[in-house]
Amino acid sequence: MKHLVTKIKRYVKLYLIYCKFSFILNVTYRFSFFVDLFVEIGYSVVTVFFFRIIYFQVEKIAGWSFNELLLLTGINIVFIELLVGFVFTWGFRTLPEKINNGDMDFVLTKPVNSLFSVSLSMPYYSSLITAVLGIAIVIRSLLVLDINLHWVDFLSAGVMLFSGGATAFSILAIISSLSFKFVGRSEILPRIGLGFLTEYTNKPHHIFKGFLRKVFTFVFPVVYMCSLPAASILNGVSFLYVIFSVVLAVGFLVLTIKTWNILVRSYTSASS
Amino acid sequence: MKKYCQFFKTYLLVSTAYKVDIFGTIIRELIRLFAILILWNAIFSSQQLSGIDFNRMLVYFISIPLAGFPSHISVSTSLGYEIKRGELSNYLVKPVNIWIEKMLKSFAFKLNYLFTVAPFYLIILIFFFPRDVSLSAVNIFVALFWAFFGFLLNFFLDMLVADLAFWFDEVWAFQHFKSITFSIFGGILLPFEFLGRLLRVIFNMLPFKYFYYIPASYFIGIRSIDKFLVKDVIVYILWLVLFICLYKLLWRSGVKRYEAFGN
Repeated sequence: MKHLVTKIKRYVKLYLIYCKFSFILNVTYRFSFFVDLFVEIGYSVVTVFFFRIIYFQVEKIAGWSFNELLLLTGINIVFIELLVGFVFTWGFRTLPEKINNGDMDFVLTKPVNSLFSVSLSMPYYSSLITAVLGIAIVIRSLLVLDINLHWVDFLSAGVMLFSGGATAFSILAIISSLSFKFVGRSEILPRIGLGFLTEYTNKPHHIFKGFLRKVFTFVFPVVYMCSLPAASILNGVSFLYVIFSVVLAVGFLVLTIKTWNILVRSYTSASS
Repeated sequence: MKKYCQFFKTYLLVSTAYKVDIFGTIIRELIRLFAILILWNAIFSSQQLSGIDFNRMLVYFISIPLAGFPSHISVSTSLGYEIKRGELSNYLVKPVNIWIEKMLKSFAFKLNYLFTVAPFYLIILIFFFPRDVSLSAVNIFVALFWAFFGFLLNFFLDMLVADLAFWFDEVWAFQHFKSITFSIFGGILLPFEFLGRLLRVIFNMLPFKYFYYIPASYFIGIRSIDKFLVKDVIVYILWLVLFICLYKLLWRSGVKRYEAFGN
């Protein structure tokens, strides 16, 4: 137990150093930083613009009104931007390049867990700052919808978001780690992982019917990531969903660690 | 001429070297397409919107990647890195015209895509093609015409973006900026028929419609050839000339200030 606590403290300290170094690197070229920020905000604006145009034509989509969908969109923006910022842009996205160039040698030879090193060593601050836009959209939606937020619903949403985040990290890690086995010229595998998450987490879960509903609830559990938390805030959800989201998150994390450890053995250095 | 043929052959080989890139592209596009179809199925719910029914919308979104693949270019990323890392020197000292070399590279990758990824889209299109939507040979020909010319226009736009690497540290953000612009103004997210009148006028004047919306909408017949073709050609030529002139101007200025650090 004491050894575990020491290990956790060590990784927390290391992560803070990574954050500091990454921040210095991100803001060194100020113009590039602001262009990156503009781009990240742009992606979020596109999503809101799209739904705004559609809602000029329809009143509801799968039973969700515009402001309800905006709440979901705001949560989704926060979710995806945090995922992209913490683990994707300078993390999993660069994994194929590291494998091709032999830079994984520098990762694997360090006395640090390689999954931690690859995924969390360089946060991307433009995405993290853009998450604030998502929070603003959520607050705006809550005010317009005039929701009396019960602490149980808020807590349920928070737990599902956190579990959903862990599950999303796991899905991204598993798909990206296939790069060890299937070496490519581009970053296509991490982009498949992120593409899957961005395409399906911003949709209300009611659009998935029948077999699809089962797949996206139990196999690729995207419904827990944004839609069910939004539904929890709007109307409350069954506590079973909350428990199941935690169980899925733990299961996926265990699977991720095992998969990563198996696949990393396929890595052969490119002679650095 | 011989040297350019060799470039083309080499890039063709490079494009086929990593099979995972080909399969990965197919899977990523299928994931995206599936998500779009699920959403639009929920939106339409057996009604017409903006004069388009679900079946035509289905064909529109399936034909978007087919229409867009010729015009999708990412020269700016590679050329941008070459300028940043000083690797452009390799091209400047050789008797090679860089824009021809980059165009041949794009052609090689397009050819690979045509024989590997495009057939999957054609199969999906044929499989899901609604019986009540009819295509004419003229529409198909016009769509192919625009797919090729969309490539040309996007190529020079991308070379313009690449030139920015002479002044800015990173150009990958501009590549993403292009993606955002195409999503809205290019018709990837939705056809222009969904937009209000003012927005439609603005969008029609911009060049981005030629990359996705124009080929796809002529293909499925929601854009009338008699009404729009001549206007589209005139606007296209104006934009092409502007992009070529701007590219040449920026290239000349950029090469003058180019310093090959690290090479």
